[in-house]
Amino acid sequence: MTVTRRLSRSTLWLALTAILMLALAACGAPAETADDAMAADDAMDADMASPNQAPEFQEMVNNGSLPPLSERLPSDPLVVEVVDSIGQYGGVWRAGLRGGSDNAWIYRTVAYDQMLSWNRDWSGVRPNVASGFDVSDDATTYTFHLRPGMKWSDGEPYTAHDIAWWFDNVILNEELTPVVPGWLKSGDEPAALTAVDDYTLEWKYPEPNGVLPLRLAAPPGPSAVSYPAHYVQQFHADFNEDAGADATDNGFEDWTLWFQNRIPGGCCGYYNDADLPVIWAWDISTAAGENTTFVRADRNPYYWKVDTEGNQLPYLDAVVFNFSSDPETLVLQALAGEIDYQERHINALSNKAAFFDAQESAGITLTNGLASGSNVMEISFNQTHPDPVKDEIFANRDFRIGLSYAIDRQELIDLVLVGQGTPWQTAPMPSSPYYNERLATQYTEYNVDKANEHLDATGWTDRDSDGIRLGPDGNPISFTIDVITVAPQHIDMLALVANYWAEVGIKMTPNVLDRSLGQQRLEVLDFDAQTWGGPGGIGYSTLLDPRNWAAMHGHSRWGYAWYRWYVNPDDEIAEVPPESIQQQLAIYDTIQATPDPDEQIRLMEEILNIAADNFYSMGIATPAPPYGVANKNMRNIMDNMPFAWQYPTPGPADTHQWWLDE
Amino acid sequence: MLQYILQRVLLMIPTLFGISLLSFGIIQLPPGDYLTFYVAELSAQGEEVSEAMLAQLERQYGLGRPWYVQYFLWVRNIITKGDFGRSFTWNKPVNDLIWDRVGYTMMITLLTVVFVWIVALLIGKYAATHQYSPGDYIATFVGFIGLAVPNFLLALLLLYYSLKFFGLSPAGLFSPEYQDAPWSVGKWIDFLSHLWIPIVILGTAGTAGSIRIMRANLLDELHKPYVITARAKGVPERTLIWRYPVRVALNPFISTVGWTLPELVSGSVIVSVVLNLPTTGPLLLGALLQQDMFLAGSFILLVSVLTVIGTLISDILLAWLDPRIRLS
Repeated sequence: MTVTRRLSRSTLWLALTAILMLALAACGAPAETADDAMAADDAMDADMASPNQAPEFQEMVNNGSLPPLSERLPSDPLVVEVVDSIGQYGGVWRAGLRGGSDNAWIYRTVAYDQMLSWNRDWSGVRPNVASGFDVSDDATTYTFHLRPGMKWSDGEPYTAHDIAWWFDNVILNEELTPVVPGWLKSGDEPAALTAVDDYTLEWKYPEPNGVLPLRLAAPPGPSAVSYPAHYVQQFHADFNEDAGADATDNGFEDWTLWFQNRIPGGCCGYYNDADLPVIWAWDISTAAGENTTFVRADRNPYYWKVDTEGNQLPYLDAVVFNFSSDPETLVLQALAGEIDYQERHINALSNKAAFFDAQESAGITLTNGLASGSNVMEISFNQTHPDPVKDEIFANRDFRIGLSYAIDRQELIDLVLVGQGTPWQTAPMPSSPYYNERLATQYTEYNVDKANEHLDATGWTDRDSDGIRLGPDGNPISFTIDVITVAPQHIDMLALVANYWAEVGIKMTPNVLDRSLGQQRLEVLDFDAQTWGGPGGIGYSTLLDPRNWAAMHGHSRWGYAWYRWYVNPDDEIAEVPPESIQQQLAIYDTIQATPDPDEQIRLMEEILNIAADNFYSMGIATPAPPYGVANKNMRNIMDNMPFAWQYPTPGPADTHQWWLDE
Repeated sequence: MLQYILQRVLLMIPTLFGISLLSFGIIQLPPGDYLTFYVAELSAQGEEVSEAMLAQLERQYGLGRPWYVQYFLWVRNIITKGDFGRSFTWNKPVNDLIWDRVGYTMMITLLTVVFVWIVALLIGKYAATHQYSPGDYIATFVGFIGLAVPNFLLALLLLYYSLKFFGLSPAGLFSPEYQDAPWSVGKWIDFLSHLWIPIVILGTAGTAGSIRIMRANLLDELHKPYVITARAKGVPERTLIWRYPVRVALNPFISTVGWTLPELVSGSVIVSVVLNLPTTGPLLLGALLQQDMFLAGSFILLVSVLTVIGTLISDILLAWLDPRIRLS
């Protein structure tokens, strides 16, 4: 009985399998013919249309869901010189992010496409969205030429009207932008943007502006090219009567908040809405927050750049960013060869040896970069301290010079910086056009006698029983230096610096704190000194961000109240700066209005000379060359890429021509 | 009994209200708010934030109001609309962010509890019935090691060795290629091959404790007269042990469900960060560090709800399991 049943069941299976196989064979036959037909179509299309596009786009063109390449590219696509080799289509670039607010890395890798772009070596600007521009002799009027036929990622034309729309309806809308950003105005007057025709944009300032091309290539630049009028106007009350109601439906109080939620703006606020048409090589397909484990960007079918053989870029299919709340997880992924290029969050000097050892096993390689900083650690004394005694101490130049002589920089380099770097004040690097030998090397010698000489010159020569000098109020001179938790090297160096300074009778205690708290203390001037890695060492970074030499930046920690005065003299914590500072700020304003690069350099040198005279902030050593971790098969990564925020690494090195050699 | 349950449920309301108020207050305690974090981060990149932009951001995030007003609005929206507010860092409604993560967290937690119980039950029973045998000593030794080694250290070691010997990082719950793929057989296999790691790591400490409890309780029971009676009546040894003393020794397992749940959820934060699991832990930690208060507050509220419910369930289960404990 049992046996029969078993038999019958297996017979049934046999029969079923046979039927299934027959059915499959039957289906298979027509499928094959269809394939053949497709292949023939392919061959025909290859003759008729350009084959120079990704296979998936070729297929979409064949079945009619995408216009042919010639209709998608502008009439004068940007031809990109590849770094080494013409690439193959395919491959996904795996990278990592820390969390939802970490979108600067998306900007730098995927979304660096602005009106103008930095040269790869950061020696100047080159055409990008604009194929060229003219500037009037008085440097007030710029005329940008756009690319006829260029398209947004949804296929809509990209025109000068989009840029003018952004300026008139976002920047000049007082509800959306209460205060026009500094680079978009001269004096108090905003610029005026006019679309002369579809492909010509006139950009006019009331007064001369010499640095617009630089700003357009730097991180303020994305806003000008990221507002597709045809899409964005649905969120704008001037264009959509229901914008307010839509905002309420989505839980926002008014249309401006809903608008800013969709497109937060700035450098990196364009990745929140996966439907937003863009002009970058890869378009966001999964936005952060739709998913809390990854962000994905896929190849843009309307990308407007080709390589020298006419192949549409980018070569890579997609970029995927996985979220890891702990940077060590990213390090581990890179060590396991699960990341194709990354430097942000993982390229600490202390990780380099581990990456080096894993090169073979993980199939990775280390890329070398050019440090853009002006120092590995800058120490800024609060020279606008609310406490009059500390203010007097920190404002005393001899005091700061004495402390600088007391630091054994070579020992710090050997012990903490694994031998990398030379003793240096906060100053541009020798390769920079702004290099200033006096600013860079003065007081860097380790000399306790000279240190005591300068400290004695302050008049604070009496000491207490512990050998600590007594300050102007008769109390021992003792202060703290704020150092943030994410800078472990700074913490190690300060521990040694405290010993050096104790030798010359000054008591300093490092105060390790969270970055947010450091910021908080800076803003209310409640700190004695803070450390930071000084920017501004190479290329245009000195001109664009001279925070350590002129009090023009919110992180000019050494003169924060003076910076507040520069922004707004009526500010309640603003302090009127001394003559020399005011003179520097006036020169800095002049630079903004100067179009001639040589004159810009000359004026910048004046600022740096005044800074050298006054010795505002103190440095330790030149920064070590940075590095990135790349898949060993990732091609066309440029050697010696500058690593800087103003040069949003690796964006200007043209990530769209990177490719994976499988 | 029904009245007792009702009483307990009603008592949950003021408890949860108190917890939410307290957690919201604590999140606000550190100086500054999300904007401070945001500005510090922008400045770290070299971006400048003007006063005007700050004022605009403050309005955008609704941070200008006093914290109790923010709290009131938040709670009102939860009750009336089920809206937990917006996360600042992710720029998305909290509702969109947490439920996936709560799901994975619940799953890992429940599976870990089951893992702990099964292992503890088997080893504890063996150790008790073979008291002072080599097997007992080995079980005890391994158990104590598991109890003494912090979970996150175990996670780190595991990651290190799997990288060293297999050249892969087993972090996360999915391999990169399945990360955004729809569910399929391949994805399930990949998922299961990742899942055992957090379960074993999270389970070790709990297992060690439970083995000791099981062993001690069972030893107490084994020499009681009812066991001897049963044995005298000729009940086979195996049936006897499982049917009588083991059931009595199970009591503490049930009564601790209440605090096992929240302990696994909160105790797994560091392990989840190390292993990069898509659970609530890493998101909660990030939210707290960045003062993303609605996201953090919502998580804490949810964990509190879990705790309170878990305690209630364990009380009810215990009463059901052991008539001696029932309310008179």
